[in-house]
Amino acid sequence: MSDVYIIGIDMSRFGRFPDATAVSLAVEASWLALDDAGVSPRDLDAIYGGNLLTPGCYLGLEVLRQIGQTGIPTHHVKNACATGSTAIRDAWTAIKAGVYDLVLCVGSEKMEKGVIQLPSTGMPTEGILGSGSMPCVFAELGMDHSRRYGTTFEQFAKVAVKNHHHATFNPKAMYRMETPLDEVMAADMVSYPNTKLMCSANVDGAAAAVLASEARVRQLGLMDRAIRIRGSALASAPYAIDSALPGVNSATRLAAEQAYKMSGLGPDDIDLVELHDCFATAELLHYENLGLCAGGEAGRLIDAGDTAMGGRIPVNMSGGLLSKGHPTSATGIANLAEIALHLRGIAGERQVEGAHIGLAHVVGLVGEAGAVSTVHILEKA
Amino acid sequence: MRSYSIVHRSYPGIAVPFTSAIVSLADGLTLKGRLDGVEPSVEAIHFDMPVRIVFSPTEHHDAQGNRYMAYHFQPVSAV
Repeated sequence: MSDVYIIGIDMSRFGRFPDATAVSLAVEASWLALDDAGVSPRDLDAIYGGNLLTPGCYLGLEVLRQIGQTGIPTHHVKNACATGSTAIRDAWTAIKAGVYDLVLCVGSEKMEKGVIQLPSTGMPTEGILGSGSMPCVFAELGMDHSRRYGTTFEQFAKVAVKNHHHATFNPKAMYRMETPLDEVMAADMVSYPNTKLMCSANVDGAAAAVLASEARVRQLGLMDRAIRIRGSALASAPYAIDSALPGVNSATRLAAEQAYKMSGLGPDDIDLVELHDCFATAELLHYENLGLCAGGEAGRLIDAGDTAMGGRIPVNMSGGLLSKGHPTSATGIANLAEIALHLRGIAGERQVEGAHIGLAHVVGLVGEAGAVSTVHILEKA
Repeated sequence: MRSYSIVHRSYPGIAVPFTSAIVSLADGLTLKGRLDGVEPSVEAIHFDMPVRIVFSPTEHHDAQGNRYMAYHFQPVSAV
């Protein structure tokens, strides 16, 4: 079966834009991706749109209304924070099946500031049955790692120092400021051990990608700039008896295992990683979930600088969700855009030299309903 | 007690700080709840500390006016 390629990919700047809407940001990102590929809306066979927070928004239809209503099929995707990457995965599936040859995927979000509150029914539980807030849930997952391996507050905080440093080289990131370790650790505590600087930035933004079949890439003469999707995996957390800690780890491990198997590659083949650092505690868990190090070694990996710019396996060169920002439905396409920049050798000051293979990972968490994860492995064609 | 976080910022109107704890029950299930009877501080809380479940009425009522009950955790030593 022939491969599927990314031939155009880009993102809007991430930030707080009071005058923008999820649709206007999506249109901006869509044109950027179409221009990057050098194709027109008339070339598209379908569009996949992802948006979670704008009520009643059918993003694919709304984008077509702005860029051209050509009569193509519209798909709308919803998978928590993995919405954008699930749009990519679904488009990949359809192209693999031979249904479409050229597809636009777009994810966009207008966010509120502060702690995200998920809607609930029945008795209010927050503050009574513990906390269901995301900073707390991911703190508890991090503290479970601390209990097993002695991972420290300082090691978790180093993730924020690193990712904020990386973002200073990314003109599309929300925050572009250095945050020394003492500043990260002394910042307002949100949910121990996650301080304010260890929580992802809720920002506005959009990202879009043009995917194409191998035949279409050759027909367009774009193979020299195409990015091959070597692995595309989507998993949901399997049942576990200890489900009070949601299956963020198990969903990621399942998706990673499938993506590695599909690509015939392993963690040692990966040159850079964009992973779902929704909170600093999460990043260390995913070093192990993605096989970047052995169980219990994540703290040592961050201490040694292995995952920092210039290290053995740089992680979140974009600044990650912590500093680039996390417009939920855009995130899963934006982190593929970062990988693509490096594989094409056009990431500027933050370029990972000689990058040939990259991995992008996303987690979506839906309260007590469970967790999903996507892992994509990309290669310069 | 398997894991915890000390919550300093929560949804509007929720009193903080408090400790959110994940407790392993004897049969392998896990349960999340508020840990009371111990100061919400890293110094006072320890992994694997034995806790027990205590039930008490909440301030919340359903549409028929029935009061909701809830559980929370207390260190065994404090009970």
